Amino acid sequence: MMPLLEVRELTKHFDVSGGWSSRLIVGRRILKAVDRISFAVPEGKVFGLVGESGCGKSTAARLITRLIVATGGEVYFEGREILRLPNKAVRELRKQIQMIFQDPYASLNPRMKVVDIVGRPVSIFVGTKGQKKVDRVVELLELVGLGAEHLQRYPHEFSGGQRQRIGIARALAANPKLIIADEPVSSLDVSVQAQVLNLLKRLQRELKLSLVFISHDLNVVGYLADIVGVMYAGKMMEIAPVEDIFKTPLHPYTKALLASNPTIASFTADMPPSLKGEITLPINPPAACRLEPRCPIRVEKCKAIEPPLEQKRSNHWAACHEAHE
Amino acid sequence: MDGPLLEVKNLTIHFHLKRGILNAVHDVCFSLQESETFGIVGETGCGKTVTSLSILRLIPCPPGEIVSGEILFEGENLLEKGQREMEKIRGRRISMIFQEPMTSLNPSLTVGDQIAECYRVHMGHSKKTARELTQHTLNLVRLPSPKTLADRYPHELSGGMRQRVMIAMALACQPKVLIADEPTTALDVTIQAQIIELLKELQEKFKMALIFISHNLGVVARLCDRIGVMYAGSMVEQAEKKVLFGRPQHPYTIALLNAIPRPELRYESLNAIPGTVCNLFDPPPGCKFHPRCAKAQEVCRTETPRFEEKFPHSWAACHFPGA
Repeated sequence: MMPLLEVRELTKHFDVSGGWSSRLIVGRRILKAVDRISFAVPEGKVFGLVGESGCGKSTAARLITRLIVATGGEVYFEGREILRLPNKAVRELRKQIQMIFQDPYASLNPRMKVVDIVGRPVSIFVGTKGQKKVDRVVELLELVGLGAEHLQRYPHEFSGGQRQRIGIARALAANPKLIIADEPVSSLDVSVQAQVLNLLKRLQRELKLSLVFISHDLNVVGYLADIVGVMYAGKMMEIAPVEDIFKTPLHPYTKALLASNPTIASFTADMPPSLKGEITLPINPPAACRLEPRCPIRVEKCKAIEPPLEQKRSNHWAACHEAHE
Repeated sequence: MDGPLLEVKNLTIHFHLKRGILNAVHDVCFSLQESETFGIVGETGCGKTVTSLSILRLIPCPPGEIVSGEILFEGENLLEKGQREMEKIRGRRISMIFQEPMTSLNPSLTVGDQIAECYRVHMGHSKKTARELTQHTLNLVRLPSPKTLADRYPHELSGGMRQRVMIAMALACQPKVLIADEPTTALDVTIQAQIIELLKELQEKFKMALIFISHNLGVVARLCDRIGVMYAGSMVEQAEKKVLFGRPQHPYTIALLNAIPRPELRYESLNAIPGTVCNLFDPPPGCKFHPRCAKAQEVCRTETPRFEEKFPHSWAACHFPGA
């Protein structure tokens, strides 16, 4: 079956050379924020994208929603290539693909009432006006656990969890097929985070939504995702069904992430060895494995040849020379 | 020395704000033995930071007011000390590291100068000795090439390195107690793991006591011997780590443990805690958790539960403790 969203060799380079003088002295500096990543999201499934800050996961989200222009690659939505669509058609596309943002304080206009925040996509994308629009907004608010009494309020009157609910209602307003959620719960407290996660899971099932769920928190991704992609320094390192990522990870980076992941279950165990060194931004990266300087199992080959993302098991891909079945 | 190194007794802190009186910390008690690690966990606004700041008397008064309580450090009440005396304790006997290393470092001073300042101000060393000692501490926190690093400015360092510099500064005078307020929250998981490892190692080396504050139960579980759980300004439970996770007493602790997604279990749905944290300007009568508690009874609405030992090494403030 054709996947709902298919990303092929998606690439985004930023020129970070600065002004002409530094360009003369240092030369061109290209940040390969997203470097030829590929993955697919089947219809009705949740694809979890994990990685640490600067790994390119948010950039990937912005590329897919066409908020920024890609350097290369293709993105197929329902079989149609969308990166080269003319701007007019992009508007049509936004009906289908909606986004939930990380910071519920920054992503809602402080001068708009809830009825307008959620009502705007209703009138723009669905074309409903007047009382019908308000009815639809109430319906959406009820779907996310808010109600008609919140219609006339401003964002500052809500708590972080409630604001994120408003953000979710806004994303649902256009009846999208795919929602891209960029760290939707990372600014919330544990107890509220659980409420929002439950809500997302329920909505995803009831509305048969497909979801690209981006997070730095493996626990959260493990709860919601069906398939997990692990990114590091602009590269996709491993893709596998969620059980396999947690039980039988192949890539040393995934293993290190799991080992560094503080869980209560691990409280008696001793600290497992973690990755040494710091994350380096992929500016003019050499043709080598991006993890090589920090990798515990690196070999000579890793410095010379960049490992491609290969299928190592059924439904399990990893980009590592030393990851064997 | 007999007795605990640091003891906080019935600490209550109010903030007098335009909106009214904010009950930030209410009747908090805990103690810290020598070279012990005590973790304080709780969600935003539960009073964990205010509690830790009050130990060093860093709460601005006004608007803050320490209404009642005692903070005994080596038997002396810190709340009765004058500013001068406190300055001798801060940084030298008790020091602190903060959440955001960028905002707590001076952007216009080199890293080396900032650490050297600790030696000069607190220990009265000469410029030259201070510089040598700085190299030594930078080595200690495993920063690469300390010689060149000392001449760099904070903005040139990554988050993990900045936090290492903060730790170096805090440990400069080999304090008895180190208070770490969410030191790993702004960091990535693999870097967080490195910092936790470093703190553990240095603590054993210098035999200092550590108060580690975090909202992340997993992080606290990795590092701490004993853990206190705070909710809406009150300490609701306190126990040895294994007891707290194995046999939690307070419904809030139980709910908090259940609200964390645990990949190894693959739940159908998480047990979220309904509602939100109560308004601290006007906390509900009785137990502050009762509006969100599944086990709440009439008595919870009227009577504040006492913080008492429910069984050996496990303290909780609840009328109906246990699972």
